[in-house]
Amino acid sequence: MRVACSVVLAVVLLVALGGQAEAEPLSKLINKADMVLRGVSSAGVFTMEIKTQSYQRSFKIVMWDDSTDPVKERSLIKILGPALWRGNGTLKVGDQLKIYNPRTNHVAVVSNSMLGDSWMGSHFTNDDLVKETRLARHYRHKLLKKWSGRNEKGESVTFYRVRLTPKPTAPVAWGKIVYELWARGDVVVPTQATYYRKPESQRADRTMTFSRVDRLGGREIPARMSMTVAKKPGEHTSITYKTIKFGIKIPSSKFTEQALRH
Amino acid sequence: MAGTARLAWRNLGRNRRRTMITAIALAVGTSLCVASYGWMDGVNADILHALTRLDLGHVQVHSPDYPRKRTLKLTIDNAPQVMARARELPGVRGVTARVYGFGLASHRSKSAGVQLVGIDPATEPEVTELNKQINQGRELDRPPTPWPEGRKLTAQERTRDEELTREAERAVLAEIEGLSDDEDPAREAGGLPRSADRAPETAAAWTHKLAAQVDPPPRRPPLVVIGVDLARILKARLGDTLYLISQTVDGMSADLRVKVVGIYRTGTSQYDRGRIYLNIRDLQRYLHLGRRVHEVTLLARSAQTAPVLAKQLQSSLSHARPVLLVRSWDEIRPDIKNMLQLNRVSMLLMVAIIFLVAALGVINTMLMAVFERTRELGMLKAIGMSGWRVLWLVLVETTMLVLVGSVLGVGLGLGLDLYMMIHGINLGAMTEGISFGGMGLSPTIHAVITVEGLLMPVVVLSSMCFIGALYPGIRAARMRPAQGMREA
Repeated sequence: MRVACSVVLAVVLLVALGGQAEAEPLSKLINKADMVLRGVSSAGVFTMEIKTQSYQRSFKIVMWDDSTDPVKERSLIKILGPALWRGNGTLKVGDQLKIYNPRTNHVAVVSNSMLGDSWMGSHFTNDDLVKETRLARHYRHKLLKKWSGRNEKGESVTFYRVRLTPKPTAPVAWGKIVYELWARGDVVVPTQATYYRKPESQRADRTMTFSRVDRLGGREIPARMSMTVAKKPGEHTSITYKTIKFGIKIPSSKFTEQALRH
Repeated sequence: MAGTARLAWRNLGRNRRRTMITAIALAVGTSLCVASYGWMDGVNADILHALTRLDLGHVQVHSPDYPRKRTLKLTIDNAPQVMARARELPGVRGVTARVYGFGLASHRSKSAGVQLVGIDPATEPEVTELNKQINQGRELDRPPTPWPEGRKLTAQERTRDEELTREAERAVLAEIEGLSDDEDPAREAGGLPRSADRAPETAAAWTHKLAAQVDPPPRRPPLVVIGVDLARILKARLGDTLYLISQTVDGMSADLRVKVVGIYRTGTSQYDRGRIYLNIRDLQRYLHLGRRVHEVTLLARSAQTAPVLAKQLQSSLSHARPVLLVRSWDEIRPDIKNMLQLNRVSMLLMVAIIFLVAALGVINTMLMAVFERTRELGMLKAIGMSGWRVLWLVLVETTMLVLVGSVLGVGLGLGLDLYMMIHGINLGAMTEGISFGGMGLSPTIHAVITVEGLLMPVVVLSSMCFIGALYPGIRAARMRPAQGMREA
């Protein structure tokens, strides 16, 4: 009897621990993928291409980002060109967003009613810039599929596909996110995030794809991110990083209205 | 038949006073109902006028998704053809086009969210009377604001622009480099000196020059007309400059300074507080819409003929591509249509209630008339008059009584209506402005005389009295002659 109990106990413990051994790293993986471009101070230059049915444009943008403080992220985005947009800037401090238009020398504080508006005519909204979502912290995860394969560089990696559903603390209430990433040793990179408005939705609302994994600024990052919207096929907004540096010390003066204007 | 009529008439004359009183009571009741109808039709006409002649017109054409979504890019791209087709239709009085946008208007420290409405000063008066509502300043000028056309950059300019972008990029990268070298904390956060690059002032000047080629500003601030409530909210007066922020159809944030040249009052807060009117060409330039419009508006001969006109235009445009949506005012504002119907129905209900009371009076009169003549009726029946004839007699008597009262009543009511129609009832003493379901009405209501308003009270009264007279009539008809004759 006693032997039988201990055997049962041992089996139960083993199964539990075995289960734990799977679950714990997964949330860490999700966090690493989510924070692939964040988590420290960074600054970089990238190109944003916007293609819609009515127009097509391409900006060169510099972004200064300080996301070390999980409660108060700060970032400054300035458009370097072309002429019509040069000098346009967006300053985010915590959940306040300010947009500067040099042609009229006017700083607009983005009100709640403007959060749904698109940012500079792209497929990102002001809301996307403001909301500070940490997937690992604000969403529950459930592993959907795990498989080995080759990433775009041909390396052998383990792919994970997880389903994320928001906890009550989630700032943005996407009903469901299907998140794909790969892991290879210490390196974790997201490949795709599909956003659904409701948990039971079959059709995605929008999809973000990550590609062109490269070593930039000392990290393995997806240098290209592309956002497509389900209702608007053929349209996309893509960000391609040219240069990025992590772990630099950005002075606080960079996140002021004065810096926004100049 | 003629005999019955003469008999009935003589019977009425038997008790002159009672007949007169009853007839006068009917007349007064009828005249009040006729006058109330006139008043209610006047209120309805005013509401309809405020709706259709101040904003909506009678028929509107849109891109199919526009009414639901109201996004800038859902435009009518072939407005001239649509307007030409509309003008061909026989029942059309006026045609115009509009452009709509949304923005933030500010003046000094005050700001308000507004709807920007672009109208054509030449054709808008064909459809709406907005001009007549302007009580300060003047209406919009016909010619649009002189506004140079944008053009693409020349190859040389593009090269310069790309140079400027590269320089800006270099400067920024140098700054980043400077920061990433944190072994030397004494070094300034500004990074490497930028003496190699163009001075920022010149770069900004060049940028401004290039941008002005692609998207030039107007030569002078465009003129606008705003509502009296908006002027109050923004603390703006004639001649003041307002600052508008909006977004163009191609996703650019666009700002514009405009000058207030007129202030209007419609009485409807939606228009007086929430709108700024501009010249349609100016708004098209501002929002990068080219020659596209959001709405084509038609004026029909009357609000009643509007649905017919809408169907005609829809079939006239049915072969054109893309397909456009044509609606009449009752489809656009079914809530107003329902309200007008509700007014009429409640009018009818009131009339029915009043006349129910009146009919009771008539029944009472007839009952007494029958009672008094029990002996006479008994004798008539004894000598052979059938029950049916007796019933008929009573009914004819009632009808005559009601007719006399009604005709008198309609005459009186018509008189009241005419006074209200010509003179109007001014409610201005009681309230500054009345609104009915959000639509502002003028303080003076003028009655509208309709056939329905004159006849409906008579019809209702007659039917009620006719039915009511059946009771005394049947009683009289079923009386037994011997019994009747015995009554003293």
